[in-house]
Amino acid sequence: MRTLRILLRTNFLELVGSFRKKGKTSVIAAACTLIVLGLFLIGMFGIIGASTAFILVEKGLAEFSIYISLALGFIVALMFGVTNSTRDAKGNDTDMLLSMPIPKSHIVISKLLGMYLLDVLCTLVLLFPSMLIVVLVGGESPLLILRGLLFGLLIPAIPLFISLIISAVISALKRLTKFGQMFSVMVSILVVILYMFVVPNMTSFADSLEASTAEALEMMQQIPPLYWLTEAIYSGDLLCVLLSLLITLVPLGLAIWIHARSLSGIKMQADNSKKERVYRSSSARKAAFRMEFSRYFSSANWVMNTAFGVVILLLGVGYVAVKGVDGLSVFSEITVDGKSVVDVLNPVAWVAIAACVMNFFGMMTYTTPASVSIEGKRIWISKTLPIATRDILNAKIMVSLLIYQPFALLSSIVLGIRLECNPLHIIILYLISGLFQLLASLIGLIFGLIFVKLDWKNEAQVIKSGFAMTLTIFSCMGLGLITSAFCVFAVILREQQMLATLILLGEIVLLAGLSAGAYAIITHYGVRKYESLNG
Amino acid sequence: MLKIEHLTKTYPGGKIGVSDLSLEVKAGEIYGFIGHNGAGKTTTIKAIVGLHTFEQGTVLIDGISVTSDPLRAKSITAYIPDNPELYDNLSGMQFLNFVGDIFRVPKNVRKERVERYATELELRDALNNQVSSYSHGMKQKLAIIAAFMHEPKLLVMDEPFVGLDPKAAFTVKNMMREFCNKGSAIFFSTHVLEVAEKLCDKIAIIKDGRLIASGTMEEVKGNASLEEVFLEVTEEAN
Repeated sequence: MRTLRILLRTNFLELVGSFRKKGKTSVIAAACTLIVLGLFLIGMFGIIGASTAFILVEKGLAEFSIYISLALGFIVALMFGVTNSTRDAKGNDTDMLLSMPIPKSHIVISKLLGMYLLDVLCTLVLLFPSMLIVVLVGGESPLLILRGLLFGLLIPAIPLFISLIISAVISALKRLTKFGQMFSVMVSILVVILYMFVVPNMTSFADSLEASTAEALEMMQQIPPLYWLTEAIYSGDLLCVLLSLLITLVPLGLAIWIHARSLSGIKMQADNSKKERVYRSSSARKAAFRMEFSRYFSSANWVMNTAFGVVILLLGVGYVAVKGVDGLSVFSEITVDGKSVVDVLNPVAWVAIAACVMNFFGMMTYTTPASVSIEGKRIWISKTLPIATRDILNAKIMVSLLIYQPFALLSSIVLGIRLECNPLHIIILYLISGLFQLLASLIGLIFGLIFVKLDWKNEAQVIKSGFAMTLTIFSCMGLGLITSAFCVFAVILREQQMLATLILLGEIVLLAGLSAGAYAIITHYGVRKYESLNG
Repeated sequence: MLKIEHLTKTYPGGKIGVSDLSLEVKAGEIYGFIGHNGAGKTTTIKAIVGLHTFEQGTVLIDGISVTSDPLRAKSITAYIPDNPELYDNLSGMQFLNFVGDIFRVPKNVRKERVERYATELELRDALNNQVSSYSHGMKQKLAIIAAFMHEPKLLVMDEPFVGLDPKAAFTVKNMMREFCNKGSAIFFSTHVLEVAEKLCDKIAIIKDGRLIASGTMEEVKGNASLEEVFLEVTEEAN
């Protein structure tokens, strides 16, 4: 345990050291962002857990509320786990650590601890309010909370194990086929869709559930491991406690064993010596763009974190194209003066609403915040080559635009036709969503340059949790609120079509102006900043 | 080919990287740059290739200032770092095509040079493999091929022999000599004094960011060995 203690202390010291290097302002800003994000997550999960539990306890289904909280915690942990599994968990320091007299299991534990603690936090945030309500409102024994806290610490072992298995499969697929990257992105997107579908709908599911205690018990028994855990927490049944320990501790041990094996595993290398060497030439600008593009697609983690919005956008547009807007309950259930809102809104209003929704997806789809930091220690290459810094930055912007703009154009056309808009309104819809994503990309690049981090150990540090990424998300949310105001006015004034159209054109002018300003900042400040960077 | 005048670089926090350094590398010369760890060799090299800004002095490559016209200066320079971090997810071939595109090396010329250098350095069969599968020495070889491929006027190398096997080191030395015979120049740092002694036309010794000796090999070492001179002058500078 001595070596594990040393490793954990060193990880902590390195974390503190990385903050010290950044300077006071950055540290305070990062701490504030983390606190806000933490409170947001705790608040969101806590409210979902508590409200679901409250409804179920009121219906006399206290045990089922624990079951549901466990299921939610499991899904959230699985989402984090699978998202993490798309990255190579082997850090830069692994070889050095392996050469030292440190048990492999200690290296693995020190590396998995961060992921595990995050899962524990999510599980407890969902589980704790439920247990509290079951005890306070349902009148159960307070010992339930103690048992819940104990198992809350063990439950994340299951999703951790599953995500490590997926990680091993992805890693094998990457070595053996060309489709490993694609597979890893698809799995991640599927789990996030599962999360997005299940978690927000849990309260309404609890609300609509009409089941007796016996029926609820039958439902719970359909997934035995979750049922054992629920029983272990709710009643403390000895057999269920033992089974729960078995299904959590065994996967935890297996997870560490699998990971320890993969640490020093020799990677298979294909023999490409007989393969023809392809020589092809293109212009310097194209080469810079192609390099940026291949760098983006070579990182499943990066693709997963940025292409998700496009996938959801296309699914949504596909749904509307087939079913029409009246197929969306969010619209069909709203009535104005006794009429369905679907019958009240005209094409201009639909364009305004569609633009708002598309902006939301544009908010999720930009690659620029991480694009500078991702160069890491390789930044010497682009800095010593005879290519203008502006072209390098333009290539980063182009990649961001390319993953969204063609789909935004396609979506605008499909939605425009389905919503019976005229060509002008289709163009307006595309321009609003396209310019919004352009502006988001430019803002992302500015933050990416200001809060650059080139000394990362794992790319996830800059792709997922980078300060630039977090700030861009918050800025785009603010921007989204401002642009939504235009859409609201356009919907309110929908009967005066000319005025409503002018309001939407005003939004385009605003977005274009802001984009021009942001681009000017990039070409002046951004170029200087990039040139001053050192890997 | 390379003219450095009164180069001064101070790091944020006040540490002096290089102080008032001046030297000149002429066309056809191999210029060695030696000094202790932390003496300022890499700082000087990074200032030459545009990785570091500097407060004072000028760096001219073939008469072109690296600060006022960096792109033109870079277009006739190649740099090989001591620890070449390359794009791991590309194949060696893809990386060479990328560098060839940036330096506008025609396809047929690119093919001829890559085939020649890759054969000489025994990397030909591995060019279609991903860079992530390369050893340190293989990455070094790839960086060397990329640098020689566009035939720059000035080649700047930071510890070029680290990680190379003896045969590859021998080949690289021959490539360097042949390269300078064509009229280009090489400026490189090394800790291996025997290599510097045998390979260089001129050398400079740096200590604590200051140049303490420079000139032709004969001027600097006379009849003594370079090792003796190096130890002597660095002690004197203390």
